[in-house]
Amino acid sequence: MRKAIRLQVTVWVEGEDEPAHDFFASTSKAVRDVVAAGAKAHPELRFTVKRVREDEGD
Amino acid sequence: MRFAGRRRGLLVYQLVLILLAIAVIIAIVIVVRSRRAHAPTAATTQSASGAVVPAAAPAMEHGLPVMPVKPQPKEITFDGCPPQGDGRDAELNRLKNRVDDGAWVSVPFDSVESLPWPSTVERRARRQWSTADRKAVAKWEGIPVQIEGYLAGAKVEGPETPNCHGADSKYRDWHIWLSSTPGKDRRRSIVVETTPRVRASHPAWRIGTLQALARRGDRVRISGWLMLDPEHPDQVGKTRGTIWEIHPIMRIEARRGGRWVSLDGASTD
Repeated sequence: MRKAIRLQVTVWVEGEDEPAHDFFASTSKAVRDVVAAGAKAHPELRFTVKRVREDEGD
Repeated sequence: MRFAGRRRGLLVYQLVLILLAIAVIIAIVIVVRSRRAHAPTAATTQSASGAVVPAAAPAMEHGLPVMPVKPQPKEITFDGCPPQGDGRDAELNRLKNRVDDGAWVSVPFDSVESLPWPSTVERRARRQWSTADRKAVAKWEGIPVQIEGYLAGAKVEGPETPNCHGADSKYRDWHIWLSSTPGKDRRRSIVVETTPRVRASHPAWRIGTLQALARRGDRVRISGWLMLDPEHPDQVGKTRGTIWEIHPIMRIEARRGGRWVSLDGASTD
């Protein structure tokens, strides 16, 4: 049976950056790169990052 | 002789007339001042130092003062983080990052909690708002308000764009929930927030103190700038009653022994 699932994952990303630089732009790209790189460890699964959105709290 | 006597009488008459005129003018001034002093005002204002100053009796609507001209926000760069933060809605971030004090106008809790907003602004950056929506929000945004209530909770928020995503807790907002009644129910609360750049001038403010005020159900008085945060409409009726906020908070006071006491330590009443 072919299965699929949508997972919501909360990731904490931390690092050095210039104060006024858009941290979301650089980190969201990094998360996509990380998922792409890690997907090679599971060739039986196909990973697609649909959306990366910042958790804005409440 | 007779002529001199008549002349003296005329002088006395003129002198009496002048004195009477002066007395009438003084009486008019006293009456006008007295009426002004006792005229009913819709709202009182407090200066930055905490002293109640005579309000210019602004027109009131929805329990809030109508201020066609509002104080211009004063902005600073804080530890390298500019007023517009590091992304997304620069205009919103500038409002969140203002640091100026105001002549706080005491307003009822419900006037803010039930204040409407255009649903078309929800989850949209200000640069995407229509002219009509901008006008509707601008009518109330930027009013220096003071609201009494009780704290339903307080927490250190996560890293956010207005604070350039600073990871350290000193670079994060404190989310505080102001309610009209004591308790933890946040469904009809107003979110009020302290910002890092304002807290830098209030080293005595502690998140633990706010949490203790919430636990004890102490009455508090929050002063700050009225601002619409369009980013959390999904939370209305759950963790907040409105997306109108007091943001940033500029003054926090607690009622103790029949007096308002500033969290900075000095009594303000």
